[in-house]
Amino acid sequence: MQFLEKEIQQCTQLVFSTLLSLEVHPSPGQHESSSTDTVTGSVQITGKWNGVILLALPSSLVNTVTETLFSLEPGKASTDDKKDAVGELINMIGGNIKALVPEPSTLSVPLLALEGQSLQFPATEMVTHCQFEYKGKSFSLSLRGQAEKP
Amino acid sequence: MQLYETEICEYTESIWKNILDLEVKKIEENYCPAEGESILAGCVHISGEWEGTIALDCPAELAKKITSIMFKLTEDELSSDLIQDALGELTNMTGGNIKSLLPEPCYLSLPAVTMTEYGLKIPGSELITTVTFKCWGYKFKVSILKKKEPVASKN
Repeated sequence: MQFLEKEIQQCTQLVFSTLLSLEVHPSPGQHESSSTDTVTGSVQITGKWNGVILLALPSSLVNTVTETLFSLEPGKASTDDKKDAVGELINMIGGNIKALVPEPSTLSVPLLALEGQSLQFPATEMVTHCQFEYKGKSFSLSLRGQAEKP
Repeated sequence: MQLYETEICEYTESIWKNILDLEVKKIEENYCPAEGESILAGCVHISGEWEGTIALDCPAELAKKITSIMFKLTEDELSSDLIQDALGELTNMTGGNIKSLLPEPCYLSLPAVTMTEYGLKIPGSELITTVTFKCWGYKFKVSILKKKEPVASKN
C-alpha cells in the first residue's frame, strides 16, 4: 500500500461525487497518458510536509467535468472554462489531502499544463500514484514529495 | 512603477551575476514570445499571509545556456532534467528573495517547471508585476501573480 493511497482514493471519489455527481472508481495499473491529450492540474503543499498533488485528465474527461461543473451544453466549454474547472477540482482534492499531511501546511494556487505541455517538479519524487476510471476514461491522481538531497 | 519592480531588478541582476556570472539588464520592451517559440517557465508559489506566484519565463535556448554555465557542461551534454533543475533553482532563488518582501508568515513552495508555447496557466491569479530583462540578446521576464479573491459562481 502506498502512502495515503486509500485516503487519496476516498478524497478523489468524494470530490468527484459531491462537486460533479460523477462516480469514479479506482482502477489497477498505470495508464499510459499522452501529453498531447492530457490536461494536468497541480497544487503544492508547503510547510511541515512539502510536495505536490497532480491530477492528469484526458481531454475528453476535462470536457465532461467542465460541462458538468458549469452546466454547459456539450461542446460549449471554452479553454478558460476548462482551466477554471480543472483548477477548482485539483484545489478541492488538494485541500482534502492537505488535511491528511502533518500540520502546519498551506496549499498553493493551482498550476495547469494544457494539452501538449509538460509540467515538471525537479526537486520531488513520486510517493503515491492512484489510477481511476470514469465510463471507460482513465485518469490519475499522484502525490510527489520533496526529494531528499543526495 | 509596478509593485516591487525595483526589488525584482535588484534581485534578478544579483542572482544572475552571483550564480552565473552573467550581466542582465531590465529593458522597457515586454517579452512576448513569438508564435511557436518554446519557452521554459519556472514558478514558485507563496502561501500564507500573502498568496500568489513568482514566475520566470525564458526562451528554451537561453535556459540551455544557463544550465551549461550552472553545471559546467557543454550544451550537448545537457539533459532535460538538468535544464529543469537549473531553471527551478533560479526561480527558487528569485522567489525566495521576493518572499522576504512580503508579510510574514508566508511559505515558499518547491519550484515547478514547464515547457510551453504560452506561458504558465495559473487560474485564479492576476498579474501584478512583470519585468523584462535582456541577456545575450535573449529576453526573459520575472513576474508576480497574486491570488484573486474567490468568485462564487460561473453563471
